Amino acid sequence: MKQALHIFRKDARYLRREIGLLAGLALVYSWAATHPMNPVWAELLLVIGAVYLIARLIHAETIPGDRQFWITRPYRWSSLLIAKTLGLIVFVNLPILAARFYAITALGFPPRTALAPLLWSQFIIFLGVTVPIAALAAVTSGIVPFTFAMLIVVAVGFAFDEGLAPPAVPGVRLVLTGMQWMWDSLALITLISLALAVLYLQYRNRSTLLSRCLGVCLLAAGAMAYAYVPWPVAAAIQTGISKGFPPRSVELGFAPEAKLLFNRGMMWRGGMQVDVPISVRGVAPDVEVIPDAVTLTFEGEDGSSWTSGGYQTIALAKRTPGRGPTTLNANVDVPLSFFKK
Amino acid sequence: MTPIVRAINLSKRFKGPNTLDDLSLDVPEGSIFGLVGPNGAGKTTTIKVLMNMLKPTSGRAEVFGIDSRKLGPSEFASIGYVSENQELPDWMTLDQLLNYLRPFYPTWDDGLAKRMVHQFALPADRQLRHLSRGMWMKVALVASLAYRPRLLVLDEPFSGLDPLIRQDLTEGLLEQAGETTILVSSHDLADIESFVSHVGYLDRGRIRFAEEMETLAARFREIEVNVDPPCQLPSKTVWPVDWLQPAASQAKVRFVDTHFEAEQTANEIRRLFAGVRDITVQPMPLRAIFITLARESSRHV
Repeated sequence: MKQALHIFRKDARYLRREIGLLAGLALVYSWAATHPMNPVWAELLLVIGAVYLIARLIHAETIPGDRQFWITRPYRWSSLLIAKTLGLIVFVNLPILAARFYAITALGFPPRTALAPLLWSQFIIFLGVTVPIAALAAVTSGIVPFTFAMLIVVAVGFAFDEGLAPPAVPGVRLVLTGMQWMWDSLALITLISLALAVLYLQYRNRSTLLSRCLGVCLLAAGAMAYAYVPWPVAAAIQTGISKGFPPRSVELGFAPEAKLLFNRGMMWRGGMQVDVPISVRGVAPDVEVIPDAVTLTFEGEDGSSWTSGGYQTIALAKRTPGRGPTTLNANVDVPLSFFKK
Repeated sequence: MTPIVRAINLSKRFKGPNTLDDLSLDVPEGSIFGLVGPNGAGKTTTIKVLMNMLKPTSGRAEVFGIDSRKLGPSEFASIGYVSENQELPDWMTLDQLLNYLRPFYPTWDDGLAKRMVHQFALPADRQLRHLSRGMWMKVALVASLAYRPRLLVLDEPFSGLDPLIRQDLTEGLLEQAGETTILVSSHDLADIESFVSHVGYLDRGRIRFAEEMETLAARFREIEVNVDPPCQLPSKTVWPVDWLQPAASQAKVRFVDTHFEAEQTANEIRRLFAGVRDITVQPMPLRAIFITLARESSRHV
């Protein structure tokens, strides 16, 4: 620990300007967040400043390469890792936490109740954002390759999010509410595991090639899992971990007698919007139904069928608020081709 | 003397041919071992493998009897490493660097550090990035000797330095090294021949020889033989393999004997040449020995 603190103090001296800059950006953010203006630009600056400081902190003792002075000095890898972790917490996360705390309390939230959720969310930010960025810095040899790698990761992330990936739940991506946490958690857990594994490998063995390969493989595996875990599986998991709820007692059924959300089906260029009322019975009076997703299959008299899926969007609405049995309205765009058959 | 550094059938391959090829080497404890060879011979790669900066492709290296791949903080507390390519935290001043390094070394000697700073006339409060290359090397040496390491490894420490700085550096090194074993690499023998006790010649990843300087100097002789003309060199099949760079004129033969023994050499000369008038034997400066070996080596490429 003594060595870790010694390295930490050195980093504090070395990065004093960058640390000051981030503290300044945190101040600007807290000011922008508490004044009648859009704080997005201040948030963006804060994020860029934090990413830069993380990279500089890790690169103070660069891992890849064989020219750094520290690799032939009696550094203990664990001390170095602890020093960098301390730096990430104190230099990066603490100013951000302070700025957020100030902003929230200035907006009228009581400090005592705001602190615990803030600490928790800061912890998640540390694990889910700071640590992965530190891992990326640990496999790059300087700020230029780091920036390049960061841009690639961001570009791939955007491309993935904006359409390369199929929707997590076919047909119902836009209405996913109660179960989205499962995909988000999966992505977060993969990212955190990946980052921790890379940091351990890099600081323990300085195996940059292995770390980079592991990083790419785990990232790909996480992305695949995120994209292709089918929603019935997610629903089964959610049902399994739900306490005191017997899922087999729940009955879903077509409820033609129920009131429609729209009295008349709306025509659109390619088809017609159909409102399907669904009754949900067998739910205990103290359980609230929150609709997530449903897949509908329409069958014609001639035996032809059409199933909602792909990129069709179903709107789900719950007509009766409160707990216990209820009726849902699934609003689905059925293509004209089905009606013509 | 027991070896403090040992390489056993060490090979290191990057892309292409082996950079190190089945290299074996012993550096005896207490010696000043000069590793010399032309540029690209593999000196830096050898040192990087020894210092656990690179992993060997095959074979093994040992430092203090420990596999170089397992060198850790406790071993590095007894090793000093200075390289022309090494990066230092150039934002620090010399004072800051020494203060930063001190807690890492239980054997750190503040008095020695101060003496060396004074001897080298180094500015203690100037950032390292503002120092000249010569000063920078001196700083690296101070930062690697102040804890009296058991082993000091210097990779091309004199490269690109002017003669005065080289002299300063050498003097400082020899005065302060004490019991330290020194392994120093150089492509220029002149840089190190005045102070090394042992020398190893590395060429295309292989050690051609490694031995004490005295032994080396004793076994190399330049031989000149005056014979009755016309002089003709014997065929390659009978020419001794230890005799290098043969050259003949009308009545004179010259060569370098790499395993000189007065009586045996004289007998062999008389056996190979008819009408030997006289034999002149000249000791060779180390530089001439290396040039001979380098030329011989390049002839066999």
